[in-house]
Amino acid sequence: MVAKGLEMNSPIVRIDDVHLVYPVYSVNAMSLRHTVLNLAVGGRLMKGRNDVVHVNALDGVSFSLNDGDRLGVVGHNGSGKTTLLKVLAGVYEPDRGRVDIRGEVASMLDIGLGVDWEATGVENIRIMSRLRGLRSAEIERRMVDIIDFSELGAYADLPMKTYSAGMSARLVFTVATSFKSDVLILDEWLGAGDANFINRVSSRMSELVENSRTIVLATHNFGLMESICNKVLHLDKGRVKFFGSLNEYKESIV
Amino acid sequence: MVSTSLAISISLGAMSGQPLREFLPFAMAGILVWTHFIGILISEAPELFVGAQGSIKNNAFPFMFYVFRFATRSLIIFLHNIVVLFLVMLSVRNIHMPTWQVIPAVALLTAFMMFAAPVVGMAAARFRDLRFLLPYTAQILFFVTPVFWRPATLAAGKMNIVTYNPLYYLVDILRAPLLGEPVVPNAWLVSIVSLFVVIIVWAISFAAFRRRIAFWI
Repeated sequence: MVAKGLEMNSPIVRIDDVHLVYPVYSVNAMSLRHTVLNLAVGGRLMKGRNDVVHVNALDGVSFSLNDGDRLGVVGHNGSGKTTLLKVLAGVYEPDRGRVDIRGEVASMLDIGLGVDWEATGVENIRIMSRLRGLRSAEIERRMVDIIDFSELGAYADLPMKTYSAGMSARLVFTVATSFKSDVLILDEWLGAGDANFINRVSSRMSELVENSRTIVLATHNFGLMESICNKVLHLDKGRVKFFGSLNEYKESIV
Repeated sequence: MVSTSLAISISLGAMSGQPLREFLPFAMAGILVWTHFIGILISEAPELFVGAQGSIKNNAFPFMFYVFRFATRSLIIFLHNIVVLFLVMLSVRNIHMPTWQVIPAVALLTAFMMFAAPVVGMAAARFRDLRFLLPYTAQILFFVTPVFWRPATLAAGKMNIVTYNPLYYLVDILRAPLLGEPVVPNAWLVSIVSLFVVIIVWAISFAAFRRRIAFWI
């Protein structure tokens, strides 16, 4: 992260030639017993069985986002969307290249990650908000709003394991977007909310943009992207196929 | 913890001909220190990162955050069990006054645990069968280290199994002051050296493999 208050117009997010190779381990490669045996027999056990596969997840990705930009990340399954989001969120460090993010990142990559299913909705709101460094008074002040917008009603006091997929998505989304952050990162799980909720999300966009200076959203839903984003990044096998404004993108795919 | 201590104290106390009121506080203090500062590195530290995978895959919290959470939980349970230890001493009418060395000893053991736990946690994230192998090691170490038996009961000439075991000193720096006894010679020296060794291992392995943790879990 670069110190705040450099030039006003410098980008909030700048990704420069990021490479990331993602190791995938087989059951055998995750076993110490097998690894030791493998050393003893000179590597014959794991030869040619694809025990450690290296996936070239990101291959020279560069782009930058300014204040107010909402980026939609599109691409086929396995094109590197989620990996890119995880790099932006700081979960993965890239092998090569630079990631400069000015400000605070709020990431909701997957509902279920970071949620305590035994705890109630209200408790989870508290846990998630406290983990983001918010004070209890501030959380309690926003509690009614959050429960209201996520349309949980009486479910707010029930354990989250009783929630439907849409309800959990709504809760996690609302917490992620209720507090100010500089960069908001959302993975495609947003689609789990029902159509009505997505409409409400879209209509709340002005407030969202106010709360977060930059949004990065990975999605397969073109309509959702159209209503939220002004820029598009198209990934293909870890490479940038297109980066530019939404209008340019629409022209390029016609 | 109480039942284990009681069972060991009854059987071993009977074997060595020591009365329960002598043996129980000693065995219980030893097991208490062992469970919360050494045994936990084998029983719970392997889950340190694997168990927090939901959070690690979603948030860029520093990995030491999970270590602090782990250590805090263990310390709180330890403090609860300290109360139990004194209640047990009271019930066998053999109360020892702890000395001031309890405080630096808890600090040193906590530091030891906090630097050793991420090393174990990383290894167990990379090699998933480690947490099935480790409990066997735990048992061996538990019996080899004078946790519930006194080194004085060893036959002459067999003292080496205690003298060269750093865990003996690590347990003793807290157990002895808890029971108001003097620590064994060199206990502090060996413990501080062990702490530094663990810190060096931590620094090297954490710097080398920290960024791999998110891929392993």
